Amino acid sequence: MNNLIKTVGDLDSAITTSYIFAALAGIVLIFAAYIIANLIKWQGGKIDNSPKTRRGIFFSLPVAGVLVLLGLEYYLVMMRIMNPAFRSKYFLCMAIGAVVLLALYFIIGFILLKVVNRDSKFGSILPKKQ
Amino acid sequence: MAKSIFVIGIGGTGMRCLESFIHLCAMGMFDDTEVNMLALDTDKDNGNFTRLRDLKNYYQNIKGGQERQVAHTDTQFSAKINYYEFTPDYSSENNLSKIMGYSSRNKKSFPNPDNKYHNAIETDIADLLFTEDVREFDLNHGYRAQTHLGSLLMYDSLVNDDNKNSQFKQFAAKLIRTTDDARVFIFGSVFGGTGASSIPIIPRAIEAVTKKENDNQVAQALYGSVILTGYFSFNYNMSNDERMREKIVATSERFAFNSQAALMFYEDDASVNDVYSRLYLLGSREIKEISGKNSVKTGGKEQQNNAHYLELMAAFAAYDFFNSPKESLKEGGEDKFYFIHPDIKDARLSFGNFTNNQDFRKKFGMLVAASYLGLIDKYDLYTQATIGKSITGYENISQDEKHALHKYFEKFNLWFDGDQVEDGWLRQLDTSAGGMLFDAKAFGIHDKKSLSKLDFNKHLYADDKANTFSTGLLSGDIFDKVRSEMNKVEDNLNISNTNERLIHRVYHTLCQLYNFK
Repeated sequence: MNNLIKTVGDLDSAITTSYIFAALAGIVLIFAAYIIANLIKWQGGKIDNSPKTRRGIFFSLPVAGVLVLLGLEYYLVMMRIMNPAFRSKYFLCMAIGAVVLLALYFIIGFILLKVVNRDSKFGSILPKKQ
Repeated sequence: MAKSIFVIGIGGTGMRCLESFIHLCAMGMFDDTEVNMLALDTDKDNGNFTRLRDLKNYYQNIKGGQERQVAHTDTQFSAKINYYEFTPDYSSENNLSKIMGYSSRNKKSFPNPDNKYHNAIETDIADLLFTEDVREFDLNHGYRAQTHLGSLLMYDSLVNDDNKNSQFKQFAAKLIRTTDDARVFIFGSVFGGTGASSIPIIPRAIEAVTKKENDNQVAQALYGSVILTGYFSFNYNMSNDERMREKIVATSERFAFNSQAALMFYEDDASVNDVYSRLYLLGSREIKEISGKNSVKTGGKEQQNNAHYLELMAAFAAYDFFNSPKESLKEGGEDKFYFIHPDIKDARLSFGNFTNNQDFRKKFGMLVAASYLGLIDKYDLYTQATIGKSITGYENISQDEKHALHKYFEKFNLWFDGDQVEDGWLRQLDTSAGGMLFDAKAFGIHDKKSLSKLDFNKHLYADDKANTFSTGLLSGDIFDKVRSEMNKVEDNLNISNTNERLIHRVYHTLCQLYNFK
């Protein structure tokens, strides 16, 4: 909190760092989704609801990721900006960062879903054609 | 083209041997084979006969029905089974006197010009062999260990049957059409009635029928049989009135004597030795008494004796016969003798007692594992596949096929009557052998809870731990492992029947998990 963001240079540096973190978060989250999907067991018996569980996690993770990213950016960066114009600019950066996270997550995610075996645990996230 | 083999099961013991044979087919021991199976009994209501028919129906329905079966290779239920049955008709003429139309009491009534058996001299000779009780007892529940009567009547009913479309004739006609290495194996006991009566005369009856029905053509076949000596006993408490009414009752006290007499006959008799290329002798020093719920009955629908491990060995003798080189079955070929008595310490029945035992061990174990997969609700992969939500490609398996597979697994392993476990073939075998072949924990199931907790991934084989797979918090439970491994196994699209395609895939999945590949 002592390191206030006062200059344009400081602001630009913070914005760049935020974009990098948002991109990394998107990539890390999609691989986390892949690992979690493989940890969820197939269910025996008549109906296997594990694909639904995996689908739920696949769509929940990025939402949680965005919330965590925004929270961190607010507490670690926004709280250090006093200048209203700078705040407004950083607020826009947060929004773009969230979009970058979601875009990377879903683009890489859907490429992976198309490439993997549809019968695999990760592949089961996509509903089966009846 | 599939190889064609012929098996005949005669009497109650023959029926149970055929049951074991069907289970061998289900394991996949008869790849690319068309099995022509004839069940022969005088007692059409016999419980063992009914049980065999049910098992056969399930087997055929698993493969899409009798007409749509196809023989396959390297899978379970690989053989195609064509089933025939024959029962002499004793509904109207139900004893020897009526059938032969003779009476020794009133010679003045002889000869009866309307009956072809009228001959006073022959009657006198027959009277030496056939007492009045033997002439008068009801034949509808079998020949009751009266083999001198049974051989005569069985031959007569087979050869002189007026029904041109009898299944016995269809079976014989199929045998004639099999020109390349035709082999027939016959199952039956030698201590009872129907089997002991029929084993000596069946090849001659087939020859007579084929000559009669097919312009004097004779089937060129090699014959084998198993001489199954007494291996069980029973107490049949009967009142004097009942005994008087039944006239002849088979009791187990004479089984050993009957077996001894039969062995002497089979060793010496030229007509048997000329016809049979190979005879397998099976017996046990331990004679198990059967009592209680599963007590032995002498006939009718109540006669549904439990399976015995010797019947599996008899079925395996057939396997050995069908896989022996042709030269070894011809004149001068070797005889084979197996004698097992598991009451000797450390002489438990093991896979080493069977030929081709590595393959048998794998296939038997995989069928046991598959049955648990089908019977334990939380693992039921077969049902899940037919629903098609998470496993796709098998949605068009019919309800009949699905039901047949489930019922087969029950008859093979176990089922529940309410909360009570009922023993299927496998568990009956285990009881008869005092423990055998598989881990004792696999048989320690006494209710649905213990079934659902069974770790058949670890506790399948008794002999070593190489063929197991592990489960755990991170590695997943049994179903998870099977389902994940199944994704790595290719679906065999050359198998047209979807149910069999699924069975093939699950079989190879289990083989991989249990380190058989």
